[in-house]
Amino acid sequence: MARNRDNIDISPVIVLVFVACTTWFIADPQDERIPYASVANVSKEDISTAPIRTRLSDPPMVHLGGYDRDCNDCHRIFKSLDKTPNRAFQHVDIKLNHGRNSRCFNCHAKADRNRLTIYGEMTVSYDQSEQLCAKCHGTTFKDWNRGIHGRTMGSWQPHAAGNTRLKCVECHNPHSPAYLRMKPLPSPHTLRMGEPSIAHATEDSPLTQWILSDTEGAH
Amino acid sequence: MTDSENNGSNQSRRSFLRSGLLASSGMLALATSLKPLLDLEPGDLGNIDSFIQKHYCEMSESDIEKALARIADDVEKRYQLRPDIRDLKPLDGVEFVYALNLSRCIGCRKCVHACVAENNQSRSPEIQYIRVLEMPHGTLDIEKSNHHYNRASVPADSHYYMPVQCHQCKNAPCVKVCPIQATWQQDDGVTVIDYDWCIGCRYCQAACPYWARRFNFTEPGLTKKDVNPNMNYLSNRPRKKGVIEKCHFCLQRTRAGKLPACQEVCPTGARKFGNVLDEHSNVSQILRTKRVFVLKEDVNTLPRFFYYFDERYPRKQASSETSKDGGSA
Repeated sequence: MARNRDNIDISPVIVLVFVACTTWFIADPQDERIPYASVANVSKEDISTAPIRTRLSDPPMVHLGGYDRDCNDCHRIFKSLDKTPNRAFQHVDIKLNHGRNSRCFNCHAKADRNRLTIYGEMTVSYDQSEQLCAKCHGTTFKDWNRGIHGRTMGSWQPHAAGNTRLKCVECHNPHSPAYLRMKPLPSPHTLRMGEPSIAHATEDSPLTQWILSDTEGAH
Repeated sequence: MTDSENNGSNQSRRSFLRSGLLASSGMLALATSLKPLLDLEPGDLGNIDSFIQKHYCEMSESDIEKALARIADDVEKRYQLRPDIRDLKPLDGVEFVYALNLSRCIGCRKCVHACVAENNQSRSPEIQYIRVLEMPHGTLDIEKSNHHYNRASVPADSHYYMPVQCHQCKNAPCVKVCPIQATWQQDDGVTVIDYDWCIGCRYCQAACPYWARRFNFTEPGLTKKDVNPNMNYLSNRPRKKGVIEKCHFCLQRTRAGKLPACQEVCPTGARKFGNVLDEHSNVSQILRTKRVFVLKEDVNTLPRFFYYFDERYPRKQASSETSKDGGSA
């Protein structure tokens, strides 16, 4: 029996196994199995903290005919009609979409165009436009005063230096105040670290559910 | 062996070659199996200082300074950039609280990416502390949410958005389960992690009901141009493979008086951050005057992260009024 066993030579098999191991380790096919997803494409502007609108100066200035002019420069010459707002020549870019508040002189002072009207003869400057907004949006104004509504930049300490509260018009267009929709930044990668796609989803996968809900859902 | 000795010289030569081939191929296989060691760089095994370093709470001032210097050197070696690394302590009489206005959040994900830019997270594989859940109107069931939404514009009709991040719980399950106290709560209410002490067991990740913790399964993919040099020991210094990380209310900013990155970037002002011990702060006033709720109240984690609503007219009603007015005008 011992002789017979010696005749079966297994050393070539062992050599083959070793060579196979060597090729496996050198080729290192496991390396490719680690799924590295692409880096999300987000620019510095996408995460800029700058206000989405810029405030007008006080009084608002317009560059016309080589000179900087304020509102009264024109409006003291061209008087407005008493009835409907006439915008045939100027301010045609302004689309008023402010709910019931659909008259220019609800907000703009008729007598002094460099100021805004609050109540009767009372006017405020363009710097204090939030006082005008407060006329109708009292609860929001109260929240804004307490730091609950609107953006705060700088510090969490209420009275720290360098602490800025954005004013109403730095987020809302007073003529069309609803906050605009925007494109969302890239979504997170899926658990399989790839871009979301139908190919990732199998029947049991939780990913299937969101793909279905996303395609069926109301856009 | 006795067999080969008994046989002729031919046999012994063959057995010599055979065993030689066996041995050399075996050595070759062994050597190639050790190939990954070649990829190691001098710093990969860590130096002795980081190995014998104590737990953060047991370190003296000089120990911390030494550790900061070591980390600064390490960062400079890896990213060719000298960080401004500090160890900011909790401020007296301050307890940080976050409040998020669900009526205002539009789901733009600016907070997610501002956080990534601030806190030196891995870009690939992707680690993000904030998840923005898109939820259908009329439910708070997170099972119905979707955080992979990819729309042309947000907010989508009949959906609202609920960003979730670390809630800095007062009764934090992640702190309780940590077997080595590598994560704990500091006096200003922020749960921090000593990345040098973490052993990567991920118990905390499993314990967190808000899915706030992220694990570095690989060496973080952070490139030089993305590094934020304003660093803090317990918050945004670069992490390594095999440690857990999570939102820490931007300690490197908030303990220096600034606002968290996610709060400052929010374009709608839906995010509010402040000191709850100051009764005039915005968060105290929100807790007093708004309709506030916490996520998963039933698990009794006592979060320091609150969601609230504004009371206002439904949008549909407002828009129909507008069109009516426009028609009559």
